[in-house]
Amino acid sequence: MDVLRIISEDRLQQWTFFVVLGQGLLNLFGVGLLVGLCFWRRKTSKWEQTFVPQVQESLTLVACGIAGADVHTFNKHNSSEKIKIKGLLIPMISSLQGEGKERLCSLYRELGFNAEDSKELKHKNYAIRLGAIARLETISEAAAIDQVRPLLRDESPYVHFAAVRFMLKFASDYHPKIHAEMHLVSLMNRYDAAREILDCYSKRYLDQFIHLFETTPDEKVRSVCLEIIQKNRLVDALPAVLDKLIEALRSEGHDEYARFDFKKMSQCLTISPSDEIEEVLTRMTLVEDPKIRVCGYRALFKVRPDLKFIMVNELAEDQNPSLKRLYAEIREELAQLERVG
Amino acid sequence: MLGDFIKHYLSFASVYFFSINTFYAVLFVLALLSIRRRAKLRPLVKQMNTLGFAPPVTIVVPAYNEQLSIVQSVKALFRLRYSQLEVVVVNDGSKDNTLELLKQSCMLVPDDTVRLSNISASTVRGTYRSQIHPNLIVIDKENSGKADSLNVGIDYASNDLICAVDSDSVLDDEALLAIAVPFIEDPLTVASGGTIQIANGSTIKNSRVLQTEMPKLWIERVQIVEYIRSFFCGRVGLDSLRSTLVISGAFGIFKKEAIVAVGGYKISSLGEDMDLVVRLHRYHRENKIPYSIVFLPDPVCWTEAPSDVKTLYKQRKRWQVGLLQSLYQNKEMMFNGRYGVIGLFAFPYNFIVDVCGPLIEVSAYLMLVLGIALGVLDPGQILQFMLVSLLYGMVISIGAVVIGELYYHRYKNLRCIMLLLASTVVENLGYRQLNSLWRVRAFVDFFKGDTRWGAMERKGF
Repeated sequence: MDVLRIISEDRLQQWTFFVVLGQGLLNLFGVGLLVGLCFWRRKTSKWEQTFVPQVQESLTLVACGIAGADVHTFNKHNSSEKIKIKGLLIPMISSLQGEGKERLCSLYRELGFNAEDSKELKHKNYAIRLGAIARLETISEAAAIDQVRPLLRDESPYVHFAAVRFMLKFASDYHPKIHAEMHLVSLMNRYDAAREILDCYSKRYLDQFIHLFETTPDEKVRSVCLEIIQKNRLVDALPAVLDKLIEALRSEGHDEYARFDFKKMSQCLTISPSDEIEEVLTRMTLVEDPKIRVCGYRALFKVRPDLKFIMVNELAEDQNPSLKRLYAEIREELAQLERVG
Repeated sequence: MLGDFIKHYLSFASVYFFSINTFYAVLFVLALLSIRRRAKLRPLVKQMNTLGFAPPVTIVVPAYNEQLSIVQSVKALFRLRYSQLEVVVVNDGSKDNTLELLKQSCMLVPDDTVRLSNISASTVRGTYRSQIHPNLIVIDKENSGKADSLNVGIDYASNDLICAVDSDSVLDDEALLAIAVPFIEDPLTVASGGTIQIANGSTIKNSRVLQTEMPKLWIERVQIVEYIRSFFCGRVGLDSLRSTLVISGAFGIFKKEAIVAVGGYKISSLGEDMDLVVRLHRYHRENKIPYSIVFLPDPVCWTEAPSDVKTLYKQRKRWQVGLLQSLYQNKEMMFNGRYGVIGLFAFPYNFIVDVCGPLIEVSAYLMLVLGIALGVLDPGQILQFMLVSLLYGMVISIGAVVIGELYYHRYKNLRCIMLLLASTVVENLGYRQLNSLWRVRAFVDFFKGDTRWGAMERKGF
């Protein structure tokens, strides 16, 4: 009672009392929230432990064609369960090919998830728009072309790049202004995006892709083109690569010499060797710059492994450390062969 | 006379701490808003790899006598969910078998990796490339310290973005994807920092945190609360005010171009991480180059906290001296409108809170003891004041724990939550005071010119 009397009489004590009470209540609220969260998470975790394997099993059966896609059963789930199902479907679809993928894509559409994605293409958050394009691309939703097309003018360059890739894959009438796209890539210094776009572009418009390789002033774009030629084994592009390599070798002693990507060019040529290619690679082994000589030797030995043993003595005389290393590698290989047999 | 002085000084100290805590409360609200906004970007993080829009990153790992953990650490980096990754390990003249172990386990062969810049003047003994992971480069050099090793790694990095990681740190699977998002959102981003959490007591296997648990020692537990408050409330809140001055050396991404422009990490600095960020601000502001430096709450790097008082003292002294060095060496920025929010707010804030705070706190404790001894202070009032301070501090700490659990859910069981809550009280009973005392000691050492690094003893995960 004394405490209450003091509090009611002293203004400072009153303030202190209310401050302590307020802080105490805030702390209690925080503690309550944490404990509540902990119990709720435990419950959710238990639910997930049973729900996720069940859904995964059902989806596997649908993918294998053992069970039909029972849309009605899947539709019975509440909205949070459906979000979980959607989250499980996408990685499964991405990891499959052929009929299994098709079945799951059909289920995705029948459950109305593609319609949700199409709506999300108009979302104000760029991350959500980007995610929606990625999911529609995963399920190969060619019907969404008209909804994706406006995103080619999206303010976010990443949404724009994703839209370009989507259109290249699914819109037969779409032909991007590839030089303008590469200019944008160059401005943003995002050559990883160029790789994604050019990969699709080379499959649709090989001639224009080769033309881009021949004419682009951006060495980094050219380098990406070389990666794609090698990755997709674009044999039709090899004459252009060979011409570029000859042009590069001719520029020895000039400023632009250092800008050429000799390593990638020489490696590209190994995908389909010919006498002409062999001759140019041999010329590479004779230039002054040791780094280019190493590239030449490595590419040459890839197309003609027998030359390793013929040219080993020639390499032994080269005093450059990189070539000495290559020589040591070949000696090691020879020693191993001798040991084996 | 002395009695009046003590009373006035303590009134000043009370107003100071009430103001600081109130500002923390404001930071807490800003942090909450920022975390809510960032939570919406999570779907993007999950899809960045699929979309192929994860920008290529080079992770630079300086390693000195790390034979116990280096192989596991490197393998763990290649298990991260990140499609375009290059790892550059810099063997900083280790006296143990760090290099030999890497050579054996990663099948390293000598390689002519091109040095693309020259921030460091150190001579490199050799460069190697892995035959298992073609994107792994190992650089062997004479011992020259962590900052210089990072500079050498940056010189050899072939990607535009550089991620500095301590070799004994453990990254969450999606940490790198999350920390790269600001570079996608805004091409002007030059640095992005992530949250560091303490892994002491947690279950770690193959450099992965499998289960987060609370450690056994209170000294480690209170540091967990301290880290949670510092990152989820302090740094995220300050980021909302565009006032990030520290991106931890244990985990951050920088644009290579920007690091090269400011001359890389400073070798003489004890707080090389803060020093770099301050110089990045300075360089961009002085040259009027638009830029952005971001701190994110979600990417998590796990680190080992000191578990004994001696090591903790060394760590805190190093941090405080590093802070003092950065503020002193860039003193022209203080209250200078040319540096915008950094000069007018971030610098004064760090000075008032982190430099003056410990001095005021320690002197206030001395005055309290003196006041009681002289009989000029009423013990009842002192107790009330202590209670108000304790509860106010707890509101901020519990708030930070709530944010952490609400959005990132690290601690799964009730026991851990209860221990976290208990630690919010325990940290006020000695730990906080000790910390302030160490910072005052660091202040004295700094002015005496004693800026030695001090060897840190770690138990290892």
